Amino acid sequence: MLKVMLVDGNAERSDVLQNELKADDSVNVIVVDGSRDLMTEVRKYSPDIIIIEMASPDRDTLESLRTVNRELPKPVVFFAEQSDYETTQAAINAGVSAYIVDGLSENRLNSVMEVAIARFKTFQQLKDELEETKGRLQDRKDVDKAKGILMKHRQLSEEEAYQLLRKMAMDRNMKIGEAARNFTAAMSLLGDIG
Amino acid sequence: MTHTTHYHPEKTELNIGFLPLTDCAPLVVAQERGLFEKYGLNVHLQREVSWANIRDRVGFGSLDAAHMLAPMPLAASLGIDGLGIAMQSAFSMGLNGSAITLSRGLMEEMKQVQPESFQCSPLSAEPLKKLLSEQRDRKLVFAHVFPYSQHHYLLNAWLENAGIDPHKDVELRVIPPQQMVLKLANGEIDGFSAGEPWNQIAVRQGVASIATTSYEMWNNGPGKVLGVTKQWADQYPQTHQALIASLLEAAQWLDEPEGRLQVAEWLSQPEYLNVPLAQISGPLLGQCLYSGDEPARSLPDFNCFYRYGATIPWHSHGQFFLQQMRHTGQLTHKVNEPELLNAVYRMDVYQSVAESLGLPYPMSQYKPEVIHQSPWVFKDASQPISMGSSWVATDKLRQQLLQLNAQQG
Repeated sequence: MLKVMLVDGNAERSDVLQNELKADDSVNVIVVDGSRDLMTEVRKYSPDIIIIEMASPDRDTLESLRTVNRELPKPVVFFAEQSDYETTQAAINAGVSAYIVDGLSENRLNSVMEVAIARFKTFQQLKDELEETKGRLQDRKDVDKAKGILMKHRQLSEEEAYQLLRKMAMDRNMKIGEAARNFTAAMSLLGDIG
Repeated sequence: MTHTTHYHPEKTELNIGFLPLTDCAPLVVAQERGLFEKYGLNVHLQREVSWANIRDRVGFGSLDAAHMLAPMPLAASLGIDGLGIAMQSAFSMGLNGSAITLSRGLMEEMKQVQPESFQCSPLSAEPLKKLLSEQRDRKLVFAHVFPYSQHHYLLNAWLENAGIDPHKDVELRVIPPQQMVLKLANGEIDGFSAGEPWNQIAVRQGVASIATTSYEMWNNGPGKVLGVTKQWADQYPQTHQALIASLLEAAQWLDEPEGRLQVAEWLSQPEYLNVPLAQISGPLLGQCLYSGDEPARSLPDFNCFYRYGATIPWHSHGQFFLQQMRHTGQLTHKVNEPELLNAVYRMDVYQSVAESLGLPYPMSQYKPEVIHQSPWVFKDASQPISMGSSWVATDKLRQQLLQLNAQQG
């Protein structure tokens, strides 16, 4: 039985991943959320592999297992021992890291990591898409604000104000949202926002 | 005044990682004052949450360089950090800058068992030893930030100096700096060794007092470095030099009085530390609050960014870390020390950049520790370098450093 400990602050992601990993009968999955004392949990379950979000601050705590706690097997970073460069890159891009017990060589480790990387990647893509949407919404708000200032101070129509912003952006090789933010910031420095 | 030197960076778009700590200041200054641009670099500073993440991302190239704990490049090159990708540094990112802070409750108990120890500052761990000898079942928990950190070695030395075995008599735990205050407040830990602003925040929130600053244990000892991989440094030598040049200028400006207040303002911004200005500015301006019930103490050298050769990648610092790694059981195999130090502490790169900027640099790679109790001048240099005291107040640490002086010959 391969004991996998999953440390993830994202409950939705860890649910999905847990179910996927459990599909393999020889894998036992324990889910730990970031709020609990990780060292106690590790002592309690002594997992063979710990899968953890790369961006988790708990990783520094896990690192100390190598030197501080001599009673436990020393975990090593998955990247260092088990994986090829491409797998490592994929894991880093997906934002997942793992620690395995030193000397454990299990073929199943790689399949566990493959599942984890794929699942983290899906969530990463969703997050990126969400941020892009947010960015677009923000751009629209900022463009509207800049248009408003131009319309008021230069007596332009909405279309003329938009064309002027677009030209500003093109001249400076910027996106229109960025140009609008710059313009609004410059105007507020001049104390010229009505 | 420095004169502008032109580099021809092979790579101009850089991602540089930092942890939200006061001593990431040189990176913030180089960014805010346009110094990276001055040397042809376009830098994106990326805030990270853990040292492990910084190491992995630098190791696998998603960061070009990063703010690192001083022993990290050595541990990486020794292959004892769990990853084993060779790293190096040509720039030391400041001296001093951390403290050992204890919970108010523990401080009170220590005061009860041995009030006379509280007459002197900094506070030794003697009253802690007495407390532990009276309460043999008591397991106190002390946190530091990473196995390979000056914070860890100083905490060890502070405990050992009073005859406390850091492995048997107490529990040491690693906790990211930003979680220290919370864990101290809710009683999970009894004290911690970490960088600013976390000591000041704990004191100001009334949950702790400072026992000793790193400066008081070792005047002008090492703290952080700029770390890159060996592969990166070999591939982009001009970029590396341009980066060091920007940071040297930033560090110089940071030791000007007007630089300190300005950087405190920048650091407090959301994209950097995201902490109120008042919690950052004290130590940067030489005012350190040890306890909520007393005025701030004057400690002008709490942070040194350029003065006293603060930016120099001294091999003697590396030698100290190797000694501490052996002492704490992290390093057990034999290594060719001079060869390793040459590879990890790139004095040659520092010398070449300093030369082209018209700044002084050492001709030798070692400097003696401990023996100077007041300011002195380092003369084995392109121009004499003005140095601060190198006194070490902690007996145990002083003996270890004196052994290293003897090895330098």
